[in-house]
Amino acid sequence: MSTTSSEPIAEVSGLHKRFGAVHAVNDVSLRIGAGETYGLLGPNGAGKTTTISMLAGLLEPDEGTVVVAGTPIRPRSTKGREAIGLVPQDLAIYPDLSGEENLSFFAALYGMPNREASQRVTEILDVIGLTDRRKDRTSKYSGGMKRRLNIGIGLLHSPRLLILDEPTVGVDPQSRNAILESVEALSGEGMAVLYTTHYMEEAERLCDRIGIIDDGTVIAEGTTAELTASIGEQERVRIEVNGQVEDAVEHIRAMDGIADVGADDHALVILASDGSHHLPAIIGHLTDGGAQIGSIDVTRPDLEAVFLHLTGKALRE
Amino acid sequence: MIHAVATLVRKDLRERFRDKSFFLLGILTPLVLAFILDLVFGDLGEGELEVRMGVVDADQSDVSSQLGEGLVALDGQGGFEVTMLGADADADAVIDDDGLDAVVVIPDGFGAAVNSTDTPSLDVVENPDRPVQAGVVESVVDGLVADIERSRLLAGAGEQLDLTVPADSLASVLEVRREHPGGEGLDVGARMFAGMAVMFVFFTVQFGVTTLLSEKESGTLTRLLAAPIPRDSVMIAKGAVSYVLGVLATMILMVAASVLLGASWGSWIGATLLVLSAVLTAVALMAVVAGLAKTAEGAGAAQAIIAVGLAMLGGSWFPVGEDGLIGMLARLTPHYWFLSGLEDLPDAASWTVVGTPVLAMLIIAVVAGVPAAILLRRRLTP
Amino acid sequence: MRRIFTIARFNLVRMFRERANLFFVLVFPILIIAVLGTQFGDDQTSEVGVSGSGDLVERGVERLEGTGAADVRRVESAEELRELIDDGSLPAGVVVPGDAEELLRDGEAVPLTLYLGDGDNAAQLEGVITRAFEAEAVVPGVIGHLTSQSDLPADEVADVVTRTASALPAIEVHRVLAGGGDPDDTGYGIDQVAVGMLVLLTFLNALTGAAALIQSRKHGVSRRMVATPTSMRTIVIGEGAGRWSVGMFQAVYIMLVTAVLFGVTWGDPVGAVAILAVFAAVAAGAAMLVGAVMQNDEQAAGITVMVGLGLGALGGAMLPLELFGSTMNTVAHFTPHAWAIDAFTELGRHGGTVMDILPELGVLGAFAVVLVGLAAWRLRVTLTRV
Repeated sequence: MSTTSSEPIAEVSGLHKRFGAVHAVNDVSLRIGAGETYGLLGPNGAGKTTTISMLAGLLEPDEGTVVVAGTPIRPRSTKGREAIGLVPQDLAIYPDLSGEENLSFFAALYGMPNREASQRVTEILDVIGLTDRRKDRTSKYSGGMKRRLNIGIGLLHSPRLLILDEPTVGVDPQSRNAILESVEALSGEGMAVLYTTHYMEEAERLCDRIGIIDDGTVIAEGTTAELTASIGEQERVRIEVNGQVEDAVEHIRAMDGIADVGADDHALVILASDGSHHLPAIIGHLTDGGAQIGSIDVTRPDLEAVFLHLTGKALRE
Repeated sequence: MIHAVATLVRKDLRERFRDKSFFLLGILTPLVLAFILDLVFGDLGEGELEVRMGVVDADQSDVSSQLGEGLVALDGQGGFEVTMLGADADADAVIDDDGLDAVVVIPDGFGAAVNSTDTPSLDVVENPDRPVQAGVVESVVDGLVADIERSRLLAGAGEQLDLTVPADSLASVLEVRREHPGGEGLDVGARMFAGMAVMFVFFTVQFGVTTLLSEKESGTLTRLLAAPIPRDSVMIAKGAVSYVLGVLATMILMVAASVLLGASWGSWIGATLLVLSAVLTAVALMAVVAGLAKTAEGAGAAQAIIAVGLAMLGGSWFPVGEDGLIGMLARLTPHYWFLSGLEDLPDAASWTVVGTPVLAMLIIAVVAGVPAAILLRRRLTP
Repeated sequence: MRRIFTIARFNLVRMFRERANLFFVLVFPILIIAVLGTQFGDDQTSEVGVSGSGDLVERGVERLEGTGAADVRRVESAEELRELIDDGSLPAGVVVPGDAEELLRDGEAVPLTLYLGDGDNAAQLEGVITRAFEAEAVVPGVIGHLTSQSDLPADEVADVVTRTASALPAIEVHRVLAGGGDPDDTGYGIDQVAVGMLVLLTFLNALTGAAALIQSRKHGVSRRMVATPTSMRTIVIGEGAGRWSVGMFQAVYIMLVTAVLFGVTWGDPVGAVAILAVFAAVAAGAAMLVGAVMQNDEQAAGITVMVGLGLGALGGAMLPLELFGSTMNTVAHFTPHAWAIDAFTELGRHGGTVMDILPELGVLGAFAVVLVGLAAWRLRVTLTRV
């Protein structure tokens, strides 16, 4: 299982990156140990991809250091890159080559000798379930198959650290599930995984530790349990409303035991301890104000709540 | 580095040969175009210009009939078609209706004037839409006029000297010899081929350098940059692919010309050296464009126009003048040097005659190549 | 209707967003026309080299320069002349022996050596040079011939011949255009170059735009358009309008700028714009057809260039139609280019109006309808498939 040795596989300290006036990554530090799956959770534009680019040696940080498997990673040097496997968000595969040819090509780029390479290619094809389509041009693959190949390429050279950048965006539920299962299996084999996403459920399911990132800064870090605990025993009440709610919100905020009130889509999201207890009063305030109520949903606290609590924003846009 | 470059080049070549565009653009298109251009321009070079002229003899004298016969005798020679029109035909109307290129009108009184001290005159009525053909008719008329003047002088002076001299006893006294100091050069068909080949190599090399932009757009560049290979190897590989494809295509075309058209290039060493240096300039120049463009699409459009434009300036479509501004601009293009080298080869004693053109092209390649490398390097970001 | 306009405008905007495009649509055509215009301009007098001395040479040179067809450069030796021709400094030259006059008067023939370069005006210059020297050789030649026939001393014969010659005026050849006018005005000059290049480049650039259509298919833009509440017909018409706007813009631009900068005359403005409008439609149709049929943009690039340049050459955009043989002329008129050029020639050279070019406009219109129709049908099929 996950044997945590004393040395982290990936260590990132004090990373900064500016694009003109935008401070895309602002003092980000994190460590990932062997067999650990670290999730970077944040909305679009939070700085996830930029951080990853620096981690993979694609982008030069303005400040800070990146060390993977003991080797410092720099854009101008090739040292240490064999330890990193990258699965970019955009499908990075060659359409005119077959699945097998794509894999062989990257195997060669990663310096694998021929015999080892062809063995490994066959293994990976099996793992990602593309063995019988290996000779077909990838332009003929379905979207899900392309995604799987994309991941396969990242795994080809048995990296110590696998970076997956939003791998399930725009993917059908079946493939999505398959991807998540693969990642779980890999983690079990001792690979360190950095997984970025804006889907809370994935983060909760897969990740041992999660870093919540917003506006270029990691605002909280820990296991799911630790994070949710940080906002106290709070339930999340989600009420769909139509109409005037400002006055009602004021009243609700003022109530005892209500920690926070935010909005998302056409709904109010209320953090409260023992939310179901407060429900009647909350509804009362809303209807007094003339609002119409749609559905009511009470859930135990989760990362979305954490995010809301920390930033006042919703995770989904 | 070498291993990385080799792997990248292999992959790229595999991709290129799969999607047939290399064959289409690099080989088929220049072949077809060379054929078409040969059809269009070829006739011109062979001196087979079609000229249709008419003759109106309003004078009906001995002199005028002789002149008329001299003109009609040209009918069927080269591209000439000569018709003797009625003595009172209206030249303007005939040109308008029948589309003749020119009508030579011998006015009434011509014969009399020739044999006296009056000034004889002839009219050449020209079709405004056919200036070149009309010019040829003028030329012919000038020649015949000189003959008449000679005969006249012969008769006139001879009479005064109490000699009877038959009018046509003296033909031209000049023996004209023609020489081409620059050698015969290439024949028209071979030249067309070479012109098209060197123009299209500029399109062929796009398959290397421009794909750097499309890899960036499609996301695969990210993977290449993440891999443990030196960044420059990506750029070098693209350049190498361009070069290989360019040389391959051009050599195929040169051999095709030699086999299909019987074109003879002279020394193959010289021809190969010319090809190798021409392709180098093409890679360098197109790389500059790829380095400046924002998108692969934009690069492609710009490259197309530069390729065609340089080819026009450098003489790929039709021979360009050597003097003046045109000549100067032509000398800035690799096309000019490539074609000029090929023109010199067949007559040359040794292949070293390509020394100057090769040097000129290498200079162009370096001048373009250095900024190209700098620009492309900047593109190597995810 | 408004949506069509939107799609068309979107196409134009996209074209201009790429700055490289701007340069090559706006600056390059003008440059090419300027450069080629000076190449084929009427007012270029070539220089020819003459090596030799003596009476015949002097008179020949004087006559040559008198024709205005060439300027003469006197060269020291035949070797030097040969070099100048070889390296391209002079297009043609002639070597006349120094004792030519004497030779002729003795009844001998005189060798005249012409050195010809590679340029295509070498043939013309050959004619000009030969004629000049032939004309000057008449008198001494006749002297020589008659002297051999007569018992009289040579100078007496020479005297008689020279006197006779001066008493006989030269035969004048008057050149005039059918329908009146000065022949020197109708040479192939920048007007013709401008027409040819406008037709060639407008068509070519429209085809290059075909690649853009493929790109938008690839990136799913067209598909997204289909998903919007816009009918397929509107989209297809919109794309066509886009291609047409781009082509029209290019053509009108070239017309205006060359008129202002180089004084190119396009003839009756209404007629000219009519030709442009219909020709741009033909180009748009061709572009759409290519874009609808081709699989990827590299293939499109190849077809684009082949069709664009090939049709242009066949249609008389590079070599003037009047120089085409009769078979090639028929072939040329299978291209829209030839008809457009014919129409412009009618307007420019003959001062025609739109009424005079109705047949040409009709043919061009037919081309446009067929091409656009084919393209629309094909696009309908493929836009939804990709």
